[in-house]
Amino acid sequence: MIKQRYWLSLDGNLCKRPLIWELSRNFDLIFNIRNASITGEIGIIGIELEGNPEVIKEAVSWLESQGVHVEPVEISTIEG
Amino acid sequence: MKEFFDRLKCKECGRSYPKEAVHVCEFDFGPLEATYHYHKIKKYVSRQMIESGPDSMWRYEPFLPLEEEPTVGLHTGMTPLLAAKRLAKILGIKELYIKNDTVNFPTLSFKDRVVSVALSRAKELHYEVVSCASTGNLANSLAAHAAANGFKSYVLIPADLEPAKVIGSLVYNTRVIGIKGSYDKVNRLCSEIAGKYRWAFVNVNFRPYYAEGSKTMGFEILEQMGWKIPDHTVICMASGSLLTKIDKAYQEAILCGLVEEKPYAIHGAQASGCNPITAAFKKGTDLIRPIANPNTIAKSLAIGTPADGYYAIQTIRRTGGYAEDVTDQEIIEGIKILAETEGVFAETAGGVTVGCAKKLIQKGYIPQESQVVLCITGNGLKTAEVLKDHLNPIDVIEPHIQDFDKIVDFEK
Repeated sequence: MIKQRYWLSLDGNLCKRPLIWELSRNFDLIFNIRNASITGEIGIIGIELEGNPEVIKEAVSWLESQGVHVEPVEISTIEG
Repeated sequence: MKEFFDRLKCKECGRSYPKEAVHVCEFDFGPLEATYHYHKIKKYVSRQMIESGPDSMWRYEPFLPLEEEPTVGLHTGMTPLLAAKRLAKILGIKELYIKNDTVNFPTLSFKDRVVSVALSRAKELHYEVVSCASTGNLANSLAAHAAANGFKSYVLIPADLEPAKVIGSLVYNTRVIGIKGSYDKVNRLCSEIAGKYRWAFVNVNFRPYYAEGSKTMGFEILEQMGWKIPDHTVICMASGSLLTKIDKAYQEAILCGLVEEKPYAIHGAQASGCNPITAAFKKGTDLIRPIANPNTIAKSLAIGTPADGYYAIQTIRRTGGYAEDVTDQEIIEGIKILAETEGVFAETAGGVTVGCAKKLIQKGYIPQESQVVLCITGNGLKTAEVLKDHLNPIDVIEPHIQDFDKIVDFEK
């Protein structure tokens, strides 16, 4: 079991969809939302995922396939 | 033992954290920032004391997050502030200055400032290995400072980065590791590496220390302006950190009585091919929409998810500034105009700053009667290839004086 922390960015059309609920149904992970700002146009969610590392990777891939931008909380890790 | 550096504090909720290698708040993931005992600094510092300090960024040491004397980058900073009269005339502005970090020591970019602070702190905390993930300037600076100070260093890069860009790191005998995959995936792996190894990852677990180094550019501007805050400061943005830290320097200088308080505007500059901060600003929102595939020649600014974007927007709005972006063609024009008028060869980020300043003046966000400082952050020799096909060809002649005379006559 490991914990990973991410920032999720969603476009307006995804903001109305219960993505986190779907995530919990599809993957055996504990999630904990720490921060969130949602407007009609964009949503940003700070989330901690806890579980098997492979399942976390699958969950991240699934989120990306749904159009969610997933970044570690340490964003801008690569700089110029 | 220094008594000025107080603690780390979450920028979101204000929770306190010990002065260790931590960088995000455990509660809300907000970034941590160094705070100081300003009442003690105010009693200790004066203009005279700073002016008689070392001829480097370390003359502002009381404002930096160290507990002992600095040990890394002792010759970094105190780069020239040039009165740019010829460029001012062309841009149609009364008073223009160039803060010229193209000649920063040792690796010719403002990153030498941040790395000097991060590695000095890494020594204090007894780290032996330092690391970063970078596409250029940061990697060069980390590798050079690590070599000069006996650190073992690892530089992570995207595997498809052009070989020419890594020579400036390899020469210092750092370990360069290319990671395959998209930037998002490389970013995630770097984050995992930073969590797993006990290394000083300068812009990850050492970010609160690293970022404070940028303030020295702001303090130097104030001192070199005769202890005055310029009316307008134009700063290029990648993560947005430099912009927020120059503002922090101005604020700290006011707080500690080094300069008089006055209105000033901070303007942010980005490339149109990667403009998450300027796009959000222009839309009137604080929420940054990530740019998945940055596409600009200004690679050193191509951060699609800027860590300090939100705070940069807050700073620009609070000071009455504006955020502007420029196309690749405008970046090239910016580089050329700076070189042709002031003899300063800047990298693409400098072209962004000059190009955006031109637009800000044209649109009236910077009034013609004001005093402006442009922050030029890196040397043009690092990105010289972008000028290919944009400069006059050389004249090749036979070794006869008549041939030479023809060229000169033609130019008369």
